[in-house]
Parts: sequence; structure tokens; C-alpha cells
Amino acid sequence: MADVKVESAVLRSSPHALGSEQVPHVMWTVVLSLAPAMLAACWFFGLRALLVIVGATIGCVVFEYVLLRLRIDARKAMSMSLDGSAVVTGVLLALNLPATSPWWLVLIGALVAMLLGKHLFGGLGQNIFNPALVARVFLLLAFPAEMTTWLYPRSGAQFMDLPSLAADNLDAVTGATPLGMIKSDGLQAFLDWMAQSGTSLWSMLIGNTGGSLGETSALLLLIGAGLLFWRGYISWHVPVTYVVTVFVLTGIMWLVNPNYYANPILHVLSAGLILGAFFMATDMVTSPVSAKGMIIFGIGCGLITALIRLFGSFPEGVSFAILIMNGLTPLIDRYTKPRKFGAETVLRGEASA
Amino acid sequence: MSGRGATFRRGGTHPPEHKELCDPSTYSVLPNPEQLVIALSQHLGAPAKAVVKNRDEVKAGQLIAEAGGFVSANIHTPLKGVVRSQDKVHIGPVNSPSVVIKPADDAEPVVGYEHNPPPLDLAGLEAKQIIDKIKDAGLVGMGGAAFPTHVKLSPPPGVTLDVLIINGAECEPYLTADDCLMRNHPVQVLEGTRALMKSAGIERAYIGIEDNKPQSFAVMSAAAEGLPGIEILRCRTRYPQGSEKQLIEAAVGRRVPPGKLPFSVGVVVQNVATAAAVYEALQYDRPLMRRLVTVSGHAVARPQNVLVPMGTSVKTLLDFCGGLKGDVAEVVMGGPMMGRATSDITEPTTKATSGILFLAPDEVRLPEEDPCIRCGRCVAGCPMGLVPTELMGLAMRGRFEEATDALDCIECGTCAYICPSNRRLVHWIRLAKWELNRMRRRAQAKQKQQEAEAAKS
Amino acid sequence: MIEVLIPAGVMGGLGLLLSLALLLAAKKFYVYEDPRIGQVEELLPGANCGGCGKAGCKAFAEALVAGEDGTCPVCSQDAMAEIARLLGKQLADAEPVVAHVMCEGLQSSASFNGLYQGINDCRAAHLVGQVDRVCSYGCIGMGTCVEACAFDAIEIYNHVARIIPENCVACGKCVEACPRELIVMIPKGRQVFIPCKSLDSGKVVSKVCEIGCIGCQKCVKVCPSDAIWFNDNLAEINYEKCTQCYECVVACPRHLIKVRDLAEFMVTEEDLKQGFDTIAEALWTERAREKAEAEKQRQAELAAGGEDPETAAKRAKFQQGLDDARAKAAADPEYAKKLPKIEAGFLKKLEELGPPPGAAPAVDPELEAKRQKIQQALDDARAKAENDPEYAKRLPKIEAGFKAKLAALDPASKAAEHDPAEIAGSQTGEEAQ
Repeated sequence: MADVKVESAVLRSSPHALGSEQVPHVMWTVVLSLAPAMLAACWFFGLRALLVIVGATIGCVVFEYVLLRLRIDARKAMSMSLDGSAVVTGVLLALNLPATSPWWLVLIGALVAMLLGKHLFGGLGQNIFNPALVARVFLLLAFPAEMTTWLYPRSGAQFMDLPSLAADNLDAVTGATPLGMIKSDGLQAFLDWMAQSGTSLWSMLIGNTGGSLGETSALLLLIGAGLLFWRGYISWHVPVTYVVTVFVLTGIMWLVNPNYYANPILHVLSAGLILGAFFMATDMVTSPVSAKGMIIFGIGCGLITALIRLFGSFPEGVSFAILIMNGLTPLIDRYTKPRKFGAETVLRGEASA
Repeated sequence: MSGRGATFRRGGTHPPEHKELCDPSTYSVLPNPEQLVIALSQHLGAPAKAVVKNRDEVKAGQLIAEAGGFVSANIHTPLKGVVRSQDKVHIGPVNSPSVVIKPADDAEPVVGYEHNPPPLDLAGLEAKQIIDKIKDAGLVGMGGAAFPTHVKLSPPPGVTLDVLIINGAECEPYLTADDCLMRNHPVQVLEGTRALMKSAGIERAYIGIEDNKPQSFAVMSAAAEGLPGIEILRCRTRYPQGSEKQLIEAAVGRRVPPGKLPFSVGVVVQNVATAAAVYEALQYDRPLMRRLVTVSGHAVARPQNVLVPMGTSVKTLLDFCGGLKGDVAEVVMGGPMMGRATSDITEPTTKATSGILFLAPDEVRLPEEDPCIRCGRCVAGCPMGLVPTELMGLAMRGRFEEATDALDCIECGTCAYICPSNRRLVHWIRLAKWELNRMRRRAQAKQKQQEAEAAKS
Repeated sequence: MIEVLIPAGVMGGLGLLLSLALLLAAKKFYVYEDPRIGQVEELLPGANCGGCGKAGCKAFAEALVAGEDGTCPVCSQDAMAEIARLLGKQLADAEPVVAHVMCEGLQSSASFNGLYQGINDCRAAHLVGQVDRVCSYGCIGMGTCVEACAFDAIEIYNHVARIIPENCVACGKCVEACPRELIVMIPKGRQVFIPCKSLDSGKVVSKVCEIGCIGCQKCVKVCPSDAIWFNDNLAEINYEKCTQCYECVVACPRHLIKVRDLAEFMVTEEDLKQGFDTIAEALWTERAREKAEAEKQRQAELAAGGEDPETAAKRAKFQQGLDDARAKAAADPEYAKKLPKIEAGFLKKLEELGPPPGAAPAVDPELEAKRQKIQQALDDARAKAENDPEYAKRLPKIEAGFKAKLAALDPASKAAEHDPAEIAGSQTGEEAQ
């Protein structure tokens, strides 16, 4: 018999077998699923896009480490800041920023995301609002000019060019996003511009339009989302209900007045709805835990987004809609608990429950 | 029933099976150990009361403790010998009185299950007689819960039972004892099933077997041919298929309401080993004294199924199986999903011990907990439709009164298994359950006291 | 001008309207509350500990005013009396109790924590089960009781919980918290307790704990009031019969039985090593110790062939009287005249008692001569003091010096030799001569 002490045996509660998929697996898979969109951003917007992405990601990881160190020892802080959650926030933040973002904007965004969006609430799993969206909305309201300077895709002769951010230089290569144009100049103006510039719905699908880094290529975003569906990290409940709700509501208004309201496909393909519905609204920490709850969440997001886009003064409502619904998530969770096993069974001789 | 096998609808998971470690086609009989420590509190309900004194000589199969109440069971000694002492024995959190027996030098080892035994002659037996024989033999549920069988077969008045389910699912990883029994001794299981059907007046029985046990399925199906009312049901391999409520749903589509027992939907469930024990009690007047136990894990030299007399220490079994091989990270009584870890290998086996696992470091993960990321997988995975993360949150904050759903948890471990943050969900929920039961008992005691005082004045 | 008046008017009007609305709401939705509830709540401590059995002090106040009876364990007697007066109730007597942790085992949980991986809570650890070589009944030491206590009356010391009696208000939260029901309430006046709840046999207990009850039943045997009850391997004290004689405390071979009011009732490993005497010192009360010493002395005297205590006591009394008289005479000339008679009386009584036990030590002639010389000098000094008031003033010091010299001659009091004051005094005495 081997000379081994059984005193080394650990005592813990069941279960004694644990599945192998842990938080880093989930987070890094999400990052991977965003890779096609990141590549598209770099393709369409050049080196600057790459810098924004890298800057936001590194900024988030560094700030996360610093903020964790305030209450956790170094070893654990290091492993927690590299578990992928900060990277996900960084990538999502970058995809919400225009390619022309100056470095300080990116860093402020990272700080706001980590501090106000995550650690003030208690860190991983404790935040109520999506950190990337908190940062985006903060930047939007604090620096509206920088946040709405959209680069045209493939502008600048060289892909590797780093066009300076001086205003006169940018004028030539920046412009409004499709929805922005509709909001400020009206639908007809936008349709004229579409015809004139050769932009079609298809080009919106593959990303050949102005917008923030992640707003443009719906197709590649969907491909990435497919990976998450396949691994079971997101379920259809939130994104599909969100998109369908927006489609239906904008569709109704379009049917009412097609000259004033853009058609629903345009709405679905533009202004970050795909990014928001598949990657931001599905953030596990800030969305409900049950299937019923997720459906309500998706419908709510869709409703608010549609309202803002149709009747509000902002061209796009995804960020605000998701943040508002994040705030309602605890309430939704409380009232949408799944039905317990056997609760619907009516026993012989008993009145129905 | 789909072609893929019957199953339950909600939740569940599929942990790696690890069944190949322990070949179920054969088993060994343990030679008599140096002593037997027979716990008197090894079943649900009141502990049994010893009827022997120190230095008494006992014969194999003799009654050494009688049931301590209605919900209790008799206990018999597996081997001939002398009563050595009656110390306390510690089995998990339970401190149980016990009877320690030193087997005689000439004691016969426990008798194995017979091969091709005769069928039962049930014509001469009435239902009540069958139940009485079951009670005398001290039969309890051998699937792990150890509920006294005769009590299960005596539901409250007004309840009619119409379905019997024999649980051969064995959904826990590593364990193959039930598989071994069904493959080698199908007659005992089927005849026991017939007896159980008669005892409860039931005409329809299903024997559920997961589809990862094709040999057992074939053997049992062949042996069941010609037996009226008994269907061998192929179930999809999913955890926790062997949980009785899930098995009931898979077999007959009925879902037991929360807080109720299977008899409320007219069903009674028994483990295959219990069915075999029923046969033995009726055919040979043999009380429950020994059972098949799976000894497995990478840290034991010769994993195998062993026929073990009750009261054998884990150490004796371990030595019989070649002792430890390398480092051992955890010793688990039962399966890895619902079993109980122990560090005291002098602990004795009981009627409910289905397996003992010696898990090596490469088989276990001992991770640190991460914060809950509210991913909802525990909610999706819970077969009982609970919200484990919420129950954990309430338990962590001491808000046990709000966590009453914890009482419906079957502790299957699916939630903690699939949690990406390695949260100790089952542990928190068990704490909530325990505190709720304690609070209820305290309130009852207080009420009794107040009633007593009111009666006095 | 009008641009100012309109907004002012509007704001003012709005304000008025809203305050009217608030006033109406306050009146319409007003809930009458008995003012006594507020008064009672003021008198309650406000800790919301739940010791009264209600959800908090406010709830308790409401219950009391509603007519229920109850007790607040945290309240002082004065506060309770005041509340009783306020509500026209009677204050019932209740014996104050205090919590005790019935485990002081040094092995209890030190090994447990190393192997256990789970929730850091005693209840959760208890559910997971036992650890080999550690007491299955003893304190787990993770501090669930400490968290439950709102009064800082319990702490973890050496992996085991212990009560800080001064802070304990007997609210009972720790009793509820402990999964092994180790904490019990004992009346404050009851000093003796047995901190062990192990039902294991002595053989097992001696393997897992250095102090736990092994069931030897010595305490049961020595108890004169039959107040210790032994059941299922554990001794328990029946407080209705216990007279607090501390016999059991002394008798227990494991030093398990404790006396509450002694400061260090937690026996540390060092104590155990120093042996029984030290522990006896720490554990025994004055009474027990005096009793033991008196007994010891009696035994010693009997062994030396000495006399019985009564005679010895008388002898001591007479000798003391004699010394007192002499001292008084030295100070008081009037009394000094009467001294010879008094001395004679005492000496006669001493003679009547018979010779003291033990042979007189052999007299060294040299020493005896010295002694007589010093005694003579002492007598001369006394005589001189009678005639010379000046000298009389210095007499006490001179006397002390001579006495010291006499004492120094006595081989039994070697210590006096080195006393500087005495030596100084004797030098003065010599100078005086």
C-alpha cells in the first residue's frame, strides 16, 4: 500500500465534481466573437481604429487592476483583471467610439467605465448598468463634438494613414451617420445622399458607412454573435425580441408615413442596434436571469429605442434604452421567477392552485 | 417517449461519466472484516434502539436493533460474532449510537446474490404480509436516502397508488453498483418488482435504465418478458435522471408538486437494489445486511464493485481494493454530485452507501470562488425550477425567511456544477434549508411551551 | 415689474397649493399611535437585538402597550421599573442569566479549518461533517456566534468561542447561532460549570481533546449535594442542588470544571504544563484554598506529634496577649507599673497549657550569653526611659533595635538579619548607649 496520508483529504460540500467552463472562458470567447467586427473596423477606418481599440482595452485592464488593488491583494487583483471581463468592456467601449477619438477621450472613457460603471458598485457581478454604455453616454454628454465626428469608411488614401485630427482636415472625411442625417435633415435628404454617395442597405450591412467602430458592419457582428449562440453563452431571448420589437414599431410608423419615417430594415441595420442587441443588452451581469425576464427586457429595450429614434431628439436610442432597462432588471428579476417544478400539477381532490 | 429515450424536460447537465474505471460485469465478495460498526441512525426517521448488550453472542442475520418508531427500521448483524461495545459513531454531521460487533473466527462471509434463483410464489402472500416481511427485514431505500421501505408502501389513507417505478438510472458518475446488480441478477430485481406491485396494489411498473447501460437494458428486457405490467424504460443519459421526481416525469409525465411526495401523484419509486432486497426478504427471509458498493476513483489501486457487509469501515474496503495509489484529494461517500466528503476512513458503511470514491488531484478542482456574474446558467440548469443565485444571495445575507424555496431543492448539484464562477451554491442552499428547519423546530417548541403554560394556568 | 410679480405669484400660489395638499394628506392619512409607545421606546435600549422575541425595540414597545408581557434582557432594572410604572404593570422578578460556551477544548477546531473548503460559517461547516481526530461535538470556531452578537460579548480565542461576561446581556442570539447548541444560559449567581458537551466515550475524548469530559465520574463522587448528573458519557451540573463548594472543581483530573468569576478561566496550554498546583491556584477560590491550607497545617502538626488545634490556638492567644501587654507597657508608663502582674498571669496560663510541642532547641551558651546581655540592655533602656522623658521619646526605636538583635540571634529568622531598617535601628540603639 502506498504510504499516503488520507488526512490530506479535503472536506467540502457536494458537488465534488465541477464543470470546467469558468469566467475567463466565457469572457475571452466574447472577445473572440467581437474579433470579426474589430477587424472590420480596422479595415474600414484604418490605423486609428486599431489604436482606439488597443487604447480602450489596455486602459480598461489597467484601471481595473488599479481599482481592484484598492481592496484586494496583488496576486488576486492580477488574475481578476486578466480574467477577460475588463477586456470585454474595453472592446465594447472602443466599438462605441468614433475612429477619430483622441487618446484622452479613450482613456477617460476607460476610467469612467471601470470606476463609475463597475467598481463603485462592488466589482464584477455587482454593477447594475453596462459599464461600456455608462462610459459611452458619459462621453456623449460631456464631449458631444468629439463623440459625433464620424469618419467616412475607407477615407484617406492609405489604410495606414493617420490623418491628423485637426478640424479642417477632418471636414473632408467626416459626416453624419445615416440616422443622424435623417434626424437633422429629414428622410428625403438622407435618401438623396444615399443615391448620390452610392450607399445602399447592403453597404450598411457589411459596414461601409460612417459611424462608430462597431456600429457599421452588422454582418460581421452577427457572425460573431453566432459563435456566442453556439457556445450557449447568450440565448435568443434578449437580442431577437429587441430587434423584432424595433422592427415592428418602426415598421408601423413607416407604414403610417413612409415619407417621414425610415423603413424598418434601415433602422435595424444602423446605429448600433445589432451591436447593442447582441453584445450589450445580453451582458449577463446587467440583464435578467430567467427566460421570461429576458423577453420582457428585450421588448422594453426595443420599445424605448424605437421611441427615442422616432420621436426623440437623439438619432439613436440604443445606449439609453439599454441603460434604462438595466436599471429595471432587479425589478424584472423579482417578478419573473421561473415556475417551480410541479407547481402546475393539480392533485386529485384539490382545487387548482 | 422519444426515440432517444424518455427524460425530464427542465434543467439538468451531463457531467463526464467515468464509469469505465469500475467494470460492472463482475463483483467481489469482501472477506470478513475485523469488526463491524453498525450505526443505529443510518436511515431517515428515528434511530433504531439496540436490543443487544455488550458481550452478547449474535448469529448472522440476528436482530440487533429494533425500529425506534413508525418511521424507523430494524437493523440486523450481517455476520456471526460478539457484541464488543456500543460507542458513538460519527457519520457526517450525524452522531449516531452504534453497535460494534467482532465477527467470530468461524463466521461465514456474507452470501452473494444467487444466480438464476426461483421466482416468488406470490399467490399465498397478501399485501399486508409482504409489507410486514419488508418491515421485519429492516429494508430501507438503497438509492441513498434510506427511507424505510415499509413506510413508503403505506401511504396515508385515501391515497391510491397506480404506478411503481424502479430506479435503475444510476445517473451519478463513477457508480456502477446498480448496473452490476441488474446485469448479473436481473431475476431478483424483477421478482422484487412483482412483490412490490402486489404489496401496493399496483398493476403498472416501469424500470428506468439510462441508455449508457445497454447491457443492463438488454438483460433486464429479456428477463422481463412475460411478466405482466412491467416495462423496461430506456431513459436518456442526463443528470439527474435518477432523481425520483425527474424519473417520474420521464416515465409517466406526472410532475410532483413542490413540497409533496410522489404518492401525491399516485407513484412510488424504489431503487433496484431495494427491489432485490425485497425478493430476498420474501424468498429467503433474509434481512438487509449487505450490498454492492462501487469503490472507484484514480487514487485507489483496484477500483471494483464489492459485496460489503454493513458496518465495514472504509479503510477495510480500501485495503481490499489494493489501498491508495498516489495522492488522494478527496474521499467521497456516494457519487461526486451528491455524495459527502469525509476524512475519517474508519467511518463505517451503511445500508445506503452506494459507492466510495477516492479522487486523485487530477480528478477534482478546488477553485476559489469568483463573484456571481448573474449569467443565469444555474436558473436554466435547476431541474426544480428554482433560482439558485437568489437563494445563495439571501443565505449570504442571513435572510433565511425569504429563502423558503430552498426547501424544494433536491441538492442535485447541477447549479454548482455549471456555475462559471465556482460559487458554492449547494452549500449556501443547504445552509438555508438547515436554518429554516431549525427556526421551524424552535417555533414549534416555543408554541408547545406556551400551550403547556396556558394549560397550567 | 410685472415680469417679477407674475412668476412670484405663480410660485407662491403653487407653494400654497402644495402645502395645503400636504396638510390635507397628513390629516386624512394620519395613523393614530398611542403616545405611550414612543415613551416606552425611548426607555428601551434601541439595540434591536431581538432578545425580547420581537422584531425590534419599536415592535416590543407596541407589544407592551398592547398588553403583552415580556422582558428586555438588555434593559437595566431601573429602565424596566420605569416602563412598568408607565404602563401600570408589575415588575416580575427574573433571575439574571449569562451565556456560557460549553466547550474549551484546545483541539476543537484547529485541525478542522485546514482541511475544510467551504463557507466560513460554523453552521455550514457543521453540515459538511466531521474531521478525523477532532471532537465532533465541540466548538468549530469560525465565529458565527460572534457575528450574531450585537453586544461584542463573545470572541474567538485559540479557535474556540468564549463569552465576555461583562458585555453579555443574555439576548440569546448566540444560542440560536451555534449549530452544535454549545452555548447555554446559566444564572449569574451560579459560578461552577462544566464546559463540555461530548457524548463520546472517554477513550475517544482523550484522543481528540486535552480537556474534555472522559467520564471518570470523580466529580459525581465528591459532590456532597448529589448535584452532578452523569448521563451518556457526560457530566452535567444540576443547578438546583449545587451549593458551590467547588469540590468538583478540585477533583476533576482534567481541570475541566470551571469557576466563572475567575479572570482566566480559559486554561492555556502553558497552564497545563505547569502542573496541578498552578491550576489549583488559578481555579480555587479563597475559601477552598484556606480550607485546604488549614487541613494541610493540621495534618503537619499531627504528624510532628503536635498538640490538637484547640490548645495550640489558646497558646497562640495567650502569647499574643502577653506580647501586646508588653508593648503597651513600653508605651504607657502607667500601664508599665501593672505589667509584672499581667505578665505573671499570662505566663501562668501558658504554663497550665503544658509545655509546647517539640523539644526546645539546644541552647548555645555563647548565644545565650549574648541574648541575656541584649535583654539586659533592653531592660536598662526601658528603665532609663521611665525617668528621662527625652530618652523616652527615642525608646521605641531603641527597643526595636534590641528586638531585632534578639530576633537575629534566633536561627529561624535569618531573613531579619539582612533587613536594613532593623540594622539601622540597632545601630542607633548602640549609639544611644
